Amino acid sequence: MDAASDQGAENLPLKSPMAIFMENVVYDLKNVYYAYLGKFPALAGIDLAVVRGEKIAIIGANGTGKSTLLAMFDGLIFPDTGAISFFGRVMDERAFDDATFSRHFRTKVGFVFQNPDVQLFCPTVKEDIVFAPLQFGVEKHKILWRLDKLVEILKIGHLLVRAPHELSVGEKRKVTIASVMINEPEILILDEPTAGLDPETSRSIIDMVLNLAAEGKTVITSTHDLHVAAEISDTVHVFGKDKRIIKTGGAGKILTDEKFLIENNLMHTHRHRHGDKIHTHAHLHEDHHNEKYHWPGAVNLREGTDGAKR
Amino acid sequence: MAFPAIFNFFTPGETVWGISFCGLKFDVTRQGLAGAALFIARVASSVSFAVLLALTTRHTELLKVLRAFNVPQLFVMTAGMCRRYIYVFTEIVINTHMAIKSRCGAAVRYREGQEIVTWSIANLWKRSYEMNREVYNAMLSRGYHGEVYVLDEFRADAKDWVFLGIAVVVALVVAFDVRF
Repeated sequence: MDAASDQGAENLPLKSPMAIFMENVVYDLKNVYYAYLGKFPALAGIDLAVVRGEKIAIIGANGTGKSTLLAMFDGLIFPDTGAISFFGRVMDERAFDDATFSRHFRTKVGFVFQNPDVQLFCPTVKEDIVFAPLQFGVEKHKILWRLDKLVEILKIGHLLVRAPHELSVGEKRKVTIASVMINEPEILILDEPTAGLDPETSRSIIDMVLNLAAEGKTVITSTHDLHVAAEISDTVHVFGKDKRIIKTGGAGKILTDEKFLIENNLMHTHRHRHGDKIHTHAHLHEDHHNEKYHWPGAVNLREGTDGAKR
Repeated sequence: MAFPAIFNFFTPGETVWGISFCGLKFDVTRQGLAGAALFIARVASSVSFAVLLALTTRHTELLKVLRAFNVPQLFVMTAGMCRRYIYVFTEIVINTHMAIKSRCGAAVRYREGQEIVTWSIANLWKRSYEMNREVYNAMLSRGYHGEVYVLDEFRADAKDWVFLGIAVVVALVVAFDVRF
């Protein structure tokens, strides 16, 4: 940098930490209410800010409004009252009538739907994956280059000529993620990405999401699976039955609060048998690493309550 | 459809066989039989070729051919989506049928059967309606804004040109043979 530009930089007004923070706020929700058909509440007073590069998990029992919130993040539905903004611009139907904003938003945000059959609407997997960049007018050679890269990462080359109905659930899920990732979005929204998948496919999808997060992308995940939430999020927002956020905090703190998780239908007691002993404990990921999370009265895996070595 | 054409009312000519009914005389003519046979043969060969094409060509290729013939992209896309979701809805119907069977057993009384079928149709309609909205949202989410752009990779290679050449030669030979 030369001296003149140095001097120019010095003359610029310094931004306050708050201003810098606000520039990095991806979504800002203020007292958001939403009801289906105007009479079935799905979100009842949500206040939430998502910062660029953040990894967020949204957890909650069925019907607590998680998927509705994700649809709102993707600009598919809008608040009945309250407001949601995207990098400072209010998101409402009028905003999406503006073709420039709509295009800007859709290229930045990628949404992986809960039901892969909804997202795979083209006759072949290849057409499905390249659908989004084609709509945005990305050059063909760039699309094909991105496609080749994704095929290699996800190992889905053999699926490209197949029709979506010829795929397994895990394959469909991988293809839906590819169809979103090909657009290279900055913000990735995932609705139950590992639901109904076998452990190996779940693992590969979690690894993929972790890689994206490591690249600095903002990742918002809705899940029931506390193991997944623990792995792919820094911050956890817990939705309650009253359709609002009842707790927000670090994943490590919230996901170890057994009492709270059980009260909110996010964890259950797990009972299984070891030889002639029945073993009951709260089922947490940490169980596999730390015995302190076992419930009182649980039989220690190595030394049963009877003291017998196992 | 070809049956009336064999009678002298529609195709007069040399009578092969006749019958009287209520004072009316129905004569089957040689020319009528020949015309009906030709009609049936043409329909059968057309249907056979259509079935052969459908069985030996991937539906995606057929859709690409429609694009090559300048059929509007939106129409081709809609046709592809219709076919795509037939499988999804078929799966729903099969699962619903299995669920009913597991609860009611194989034998269902006629009246109950009617109710179950009616309920299944209503349920399928409701699901298809919901899915319609969700698919549209998924399209919006990935940049759809009223016009569809697709990867145009349809190219005729050497095999296609050879086949086209053979087809043209055969057609000319047949036409020449018929004329002379």
